[in-house]
Amino acid sequence: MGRVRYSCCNGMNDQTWIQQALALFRKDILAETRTRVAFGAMGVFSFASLLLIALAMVGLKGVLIQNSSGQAVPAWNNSGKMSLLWVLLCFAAFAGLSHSFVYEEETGTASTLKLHMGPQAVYAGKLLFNTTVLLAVSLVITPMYMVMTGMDAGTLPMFFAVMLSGTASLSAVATVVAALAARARSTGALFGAVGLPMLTVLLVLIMNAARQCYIRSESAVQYLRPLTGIVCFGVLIVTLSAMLFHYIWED
Amino acid sequence: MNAHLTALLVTAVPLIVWLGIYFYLVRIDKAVRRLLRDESQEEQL
Amino acid sequence: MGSSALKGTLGFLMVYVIYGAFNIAHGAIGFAEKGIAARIIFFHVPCAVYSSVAYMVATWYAVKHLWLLGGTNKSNTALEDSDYKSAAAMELGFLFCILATITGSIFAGVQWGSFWNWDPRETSIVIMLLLYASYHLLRTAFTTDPAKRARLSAVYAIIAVIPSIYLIWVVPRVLHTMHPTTTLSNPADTSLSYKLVLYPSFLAFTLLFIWLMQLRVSTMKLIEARRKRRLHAMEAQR
Repeated sequence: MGRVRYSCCNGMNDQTWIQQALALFRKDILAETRTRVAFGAMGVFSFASLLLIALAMVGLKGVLIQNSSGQAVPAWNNSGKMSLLWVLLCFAAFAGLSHSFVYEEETGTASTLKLHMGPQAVYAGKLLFNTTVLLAVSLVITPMYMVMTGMDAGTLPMFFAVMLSGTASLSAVATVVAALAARARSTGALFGAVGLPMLTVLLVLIMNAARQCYIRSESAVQYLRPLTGIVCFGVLIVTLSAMLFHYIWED
Repeated sequence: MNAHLTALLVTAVPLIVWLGIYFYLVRIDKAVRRLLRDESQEEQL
Repeated sequence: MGSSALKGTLGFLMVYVIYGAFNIAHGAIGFAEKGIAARIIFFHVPCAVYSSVAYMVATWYAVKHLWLLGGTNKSNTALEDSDYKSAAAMELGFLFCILATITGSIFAGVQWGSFWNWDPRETSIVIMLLLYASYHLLRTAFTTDPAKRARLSAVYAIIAVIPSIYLIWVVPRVLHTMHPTTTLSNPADTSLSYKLVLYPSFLAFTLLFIWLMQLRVSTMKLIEARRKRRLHAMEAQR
């Protein structure tokens, strides 16, 4: 099977890295449509966690608590729901995204890949693939979550911006940690434990931005500032990962 | 009990802890130094 | 620290700091227990500062390691040395991070009435603790191949710089703080009796950091030497 997959990449050393990355992306998508391992794992995992969260929080429905200024507010409000959605997506990412690197190592196709394209192309291809899969998963899971928990989208453009930038940054972190963990022996246990501490920071930023979805504000700066934090985080991670990827990838 | 005596007593506890850590570290330092010296002698042989 | 004179200095300096914290510095206004709670500053602040300084030191040596790997002249000793220094700094950072968390929690308990308040600094130090822990976890996964372990942990150390930068500058601004940030960053507010103890305290912690790091690097070298000796013995048997 490995040979069939890579036949599309034969004699492509004269291609640019973008073309190579796209070839790898097409190959991964093709393999994914055949086996559906990553999407299936993440889909089932996140749906199960969705049920767990919805069931665990069902008792909080309609409960009012006093906030610091003495007003009665819902115990489980929209930004709380949004935070839990992101916890769910973080776990989902770490359930499925290690697959893209692990199976290259397991099937022994990693060395073939090393012959055919540079590390930058591999990184770009894998990042593109992981982002696509994660976006697809969150596209399925988010509406389900909104129906089951009754979460509002709030300000729609902000909501979409948070989902998009958050998912992209999340997959940037997950991709580089997956590449690191795939080189170790006990990959599965390592992946989540190494990646989640880095995601906690991202989660704080996303929660901060998510709060802004439910606050009406006249100035665009109020919306843009928390988004910039998330986007910068993702861009910095991608830049450093791209710079250092050949140290991870090559022996 | 007057305030000065209390202050001295409060000082004594961390002081004893620190001295314990310090002399323990000094002992480790000596042992490591000796082992490193043995190691380099072995390499020369 | 090559000479024993510096170790002696460290010993006496820390004794002075402990004495001074309770006998030279006056109780500060605005702190609990008639200002006595403020005395934790002499131990908590250096620990907290060194928990991030250690990360910077570790990153510096991680960059150096990868720099040496990319260069043409690959000296094995230099590569190992930069890896050990990076790992040792990470371990010390972990230690100081734990100490800062504990001392901070004690202070929070006395000053604000609860040992954990989800203050931004508390949140960020606990995430920092996690980052350190995951670095060491990553290292344990490569027991058989030290070169690979060195390379990959250096990469992780450099990438995890981004979350730690966010932890220092962004996260405390995003979340509401009740930490006394202005008291120490503005030297004019700090009274002379505090400076008399705080500055020697920083010096003592610096010396302690350097000494501990040297010790840890030496033990790492010894462990690696023993591993190589065992490998040779096994090959000789075969």
